[in-house]
Amino acid sequence: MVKVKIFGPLVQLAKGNKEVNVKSNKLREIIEELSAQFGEDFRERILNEKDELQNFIRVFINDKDVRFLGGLSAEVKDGDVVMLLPAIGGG
Amino acid sequence: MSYILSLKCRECGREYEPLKLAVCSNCFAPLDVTYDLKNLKLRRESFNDRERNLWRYRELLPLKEDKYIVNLGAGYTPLIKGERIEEKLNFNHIYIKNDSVNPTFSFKDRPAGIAVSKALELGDKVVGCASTGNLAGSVAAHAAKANVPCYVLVPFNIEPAKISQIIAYGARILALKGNYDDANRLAVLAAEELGWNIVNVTSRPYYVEGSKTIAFEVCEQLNWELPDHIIIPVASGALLCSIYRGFKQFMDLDLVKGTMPTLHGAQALGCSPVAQAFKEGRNFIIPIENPNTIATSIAIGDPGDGIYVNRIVRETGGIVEAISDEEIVNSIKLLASTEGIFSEPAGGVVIGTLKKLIEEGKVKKGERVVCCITGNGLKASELISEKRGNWYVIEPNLNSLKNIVLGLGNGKG
Repeated sequence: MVKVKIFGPLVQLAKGNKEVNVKSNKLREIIEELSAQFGEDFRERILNEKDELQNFIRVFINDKDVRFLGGLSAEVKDGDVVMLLPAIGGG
Repeated sequence: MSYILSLKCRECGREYEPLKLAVCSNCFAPLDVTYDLKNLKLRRESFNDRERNLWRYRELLPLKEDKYIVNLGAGYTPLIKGERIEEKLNFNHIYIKNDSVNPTFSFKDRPAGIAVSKALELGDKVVGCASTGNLAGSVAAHAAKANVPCYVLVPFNIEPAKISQIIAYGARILALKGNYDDANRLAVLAAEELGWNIVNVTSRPYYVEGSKTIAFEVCEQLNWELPDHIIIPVASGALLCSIYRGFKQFMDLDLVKGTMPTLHGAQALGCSPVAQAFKEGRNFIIPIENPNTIATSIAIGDPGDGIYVNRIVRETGGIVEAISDEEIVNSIKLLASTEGIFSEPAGGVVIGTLKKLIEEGKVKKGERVVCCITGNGLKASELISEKRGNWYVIEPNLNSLKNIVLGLGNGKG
């Protein structure tokens, strides 16, 4: 089981859920699983027209940015924590 | 009073009430503050009798009520004509905007002053930030003045002077075993879980407004004219975007005439995701996992405004350059030894970019070039230590002194 934690305005997309358990073991499949649960709107706003992560979304697996783990191809193991955040610039 | 109207999404254009909102709820892109410029009647003379700090631009700052203003006297820093550095570089019309003399010794007093004030207006009880050190010092100082608790998230290896400064102001330092991008991610989570106002996250649309006052001041200090070029260090990219907005607002208000200056971005080679995207003509940023440069204050591997920096720089005909650590140190010394201004490495990056622009003929004689020096060298003084020359240990007697000095060639007055 993999835990997905959702933050900020993304919570609204996930129909108010801040934490969801998923079964898939690839990030792309996790997004599909969440889209099946929360509807097409979720998928359309997380992924861009090329079916990649949208510019202003950040995804972390165990606190590591998935862009350093192969993006949507990143593998996820039982017990891992996936976080979905809006990209807030800081600086 | 302020003429703030709304928060507007930079991508989809959706507008929101100017409340506590970090990003667009629709597409998650950054938000910009809009103002009612049509009804704002500002003339050059309007500023004649105003205080000489950033609050002189009150109408164009996003605070609704004056009673929340936390004012350390930041801003209205000197714009120095760099006559000695002009001589060295065989170029004329170099201006140094010296923001290293702000109350906490960096330009961050501008955005922090606005954001801490706005946090109070929004009713927040705890402030904080993710920082490479300069912002942490500035937020801590403003929090001290406002008498609110402050937590700063910084990489554990920031410079000792910055740590001392933050401790003195009374803030709590959360020193991360990680880099700035880790601090930023954790700040987003902490803001949500603990309700803190992380000024550069929770209040980011307001926070970034502070830095545009650099553009306002440059116009005033050039006798109400626009410079031809301005060179700006790029970390998240918020500063460059903000300065661009500042020039635009003064142009829209008819306070200055002419064309938008050419904006140039300056990064350190060891952390240059924006410069790389610029050079490769990309419209997206590939983040840097492990920044590796002495310019720690601008070492942000995942720059939130990177794509917008490149958009502005391309639009105005500028460049984004990446400067090596060695060249950064040389440039710090060049500025200090010609103009008497000791900058931290971010300033070395700017002067390094100035040299490249001159060498490559991208700035022309007669054009006015402003260099933004954003932080004080004493905050990173380890880099210019005795190991870098001009350090002589002598016996406490005149003979020993003369033996050294007369051997140096220019010691006789």
